[in-house]
Amino acid sequence: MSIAITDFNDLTPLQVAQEQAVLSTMMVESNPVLDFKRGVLHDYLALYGGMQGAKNVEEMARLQRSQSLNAVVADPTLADNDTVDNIASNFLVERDAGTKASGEVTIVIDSLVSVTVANAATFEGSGQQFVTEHSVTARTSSALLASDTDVVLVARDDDTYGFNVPVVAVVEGIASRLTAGTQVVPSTAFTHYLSSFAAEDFIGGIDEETNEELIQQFQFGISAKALSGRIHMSASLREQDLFTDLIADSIIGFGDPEMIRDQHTIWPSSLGGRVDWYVRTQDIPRTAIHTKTATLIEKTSDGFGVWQISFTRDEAPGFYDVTRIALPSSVVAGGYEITEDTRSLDMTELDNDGFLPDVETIAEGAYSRFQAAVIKFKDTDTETDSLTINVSTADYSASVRAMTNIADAQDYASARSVRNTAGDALVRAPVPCSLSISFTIELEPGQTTPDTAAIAIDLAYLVNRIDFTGRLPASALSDVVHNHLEGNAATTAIDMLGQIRKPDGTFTLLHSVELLEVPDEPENMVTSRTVAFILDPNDVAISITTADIAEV
Amino acid sequence: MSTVVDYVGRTVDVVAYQGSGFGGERQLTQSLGRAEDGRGMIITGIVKLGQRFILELLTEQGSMQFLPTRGCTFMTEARLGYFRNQVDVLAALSRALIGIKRNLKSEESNSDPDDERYGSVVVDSIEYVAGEVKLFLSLTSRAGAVTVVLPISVSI
Repeated sequence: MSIAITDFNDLTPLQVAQEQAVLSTMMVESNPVLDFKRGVLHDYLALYGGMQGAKNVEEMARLQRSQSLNAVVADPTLADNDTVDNIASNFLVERDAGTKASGEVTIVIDSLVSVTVANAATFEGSGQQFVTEHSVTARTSSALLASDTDVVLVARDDDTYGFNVPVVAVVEGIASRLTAGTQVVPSTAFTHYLSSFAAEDFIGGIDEETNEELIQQFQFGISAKALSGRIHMSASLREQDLFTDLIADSIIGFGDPEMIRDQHTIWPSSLGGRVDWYVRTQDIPRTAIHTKTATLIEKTSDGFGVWQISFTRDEAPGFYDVTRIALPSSVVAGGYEITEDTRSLDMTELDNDGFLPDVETIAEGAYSRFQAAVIKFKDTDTETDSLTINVSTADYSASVRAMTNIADAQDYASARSVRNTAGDALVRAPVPCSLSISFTIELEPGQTTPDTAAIAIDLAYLVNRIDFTGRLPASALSDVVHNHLEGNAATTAIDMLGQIRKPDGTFTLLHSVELLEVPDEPENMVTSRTVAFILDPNDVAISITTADIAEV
Repeated sequence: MSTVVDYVGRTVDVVAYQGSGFGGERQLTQSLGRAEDGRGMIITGIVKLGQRFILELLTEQGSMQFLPTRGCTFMTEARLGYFRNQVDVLAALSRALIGIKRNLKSEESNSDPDDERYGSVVVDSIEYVAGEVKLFLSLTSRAGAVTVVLPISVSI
């Protein structure tokens, strides 16, 4: 809401009547001969004076409210962005501008020929437009590469060829994100073109910070930026360029039942000096595609075999899981069955002064930058008769889901000039509770179908912005859905399913139609203070029905 | 002709319809000022009441923002073409007079001069020809027979 009133309909009849009465009274007091009780002077002249007066009074009231932190906190929609920004500057806080999502598009062509995608070429996917920021030329071999923007065509197993082109969304905001595999079509066709799709999850699409969100940052702006109290620690991380868009963080320390690391003593008690810092850097973890060389470790009786790849702590720091493994040339959506996911710790020294957090077990280091992993999977396409166990290798494409910048956060927290002199801080991605939600929208006969894609995005925005509360009530979802419904349309059969991957690698399923609640298992480091709900809009299933309402 | 002396001790309103006077039929012009001399006019007494009545009669109810009860339904019915004969006009006028009476009385108080307070209206006659309706009405204030003070001009 802006301070200036530009439409008299924004005024109420009572406001106008009050100002009309004030003006009429003042006019009569000024000149008693004038009849301002009724008639032309009252109904026409004083009325418009009253409207103008009411406009001024309301604008002054809005201005006063928008300059009051109390009023803004009570109702941030009162104040316009400029005014709130001015208040925010007093707290050393700036509004985060919206950003555009970016990522790579895989373009598939029908033959091995050089193809150029022009600068500012437009693509469209999921209703959003994306453009290239420079031209990209796909060459037929690496020997022909002529510039930094040239790429080499990769053969695919269906006698086609592909190459990747980086693109950026035209419009900023969360709606500009794409998930890997989403069809992305060029606005202008080019030679040999067959198809194109998002090669990876597009990240970076963030809406401009709302007043409510900005006000939440006030406490961080005025806090000392130091690794001491919780607010101070949060403020210090948010001050770093990489973390200005930090979604949420939760700090577990001395006295918290989830704190395990400060019990590495011969005494059965906590000694303090340890901090587990759960940092949610993104609303939805990014799925990045890694090309890995796997080793055959077992031949199976069906002629195929089990292969193994590994991830060092630096390849996908703090990652959650591997969601898909396939041959690099695979064009199908599915991947191979992952038969084993073994995590480990890599506590070798970093490039700092040698300081390392005190981590003893894999569970303690889960989702931290010290986590490494070995993944085994069964390839059902590659025959292994002529291959040799522990010798034969092959390249695979592995999709890895992770919060971004976990390693950077750890580097910051471990820096000698930053870290607390009395202990360590271990940065971890939140324990993930991946959600899928389904419900039915019941429309009245004749009502138009709501935009289900927009509903899914709004639901994901709500869920992924929930702080570390450990509670997701169905009513909160229903509230969001109803913003998209008209008349007596209703939501029914809301079903919430969550899967928690605990730090020890085991899974817990949550299911409810009313309230999804994180279990309280501090001994497993699974509580409302460590677990984050994660909802991808693609995991929202919406059914539309029309209510069978009998005529009365 | 009325003079300033006639206005002593009275409250005045501005004239919204220029051209009124004693006797006969006169064409009024809806204007707060006169184009010929750039002056406006003020009124008092029964003329002020008459102007209020005319404004009320000619204002469509709901047409004034923030004054939703102002006016009556007469002009609405006229605009919608409900008038087919004199009986239709009389019926519409009768309906409208109920609202006009209510509105005029609601803005009056006992301290107001009786010649500025609504008393009654009598429909003297209705002339109906295609595309035109003439209403001849007699408006009486609570004071009964009164001296009419005509508008006088003022600078605006």
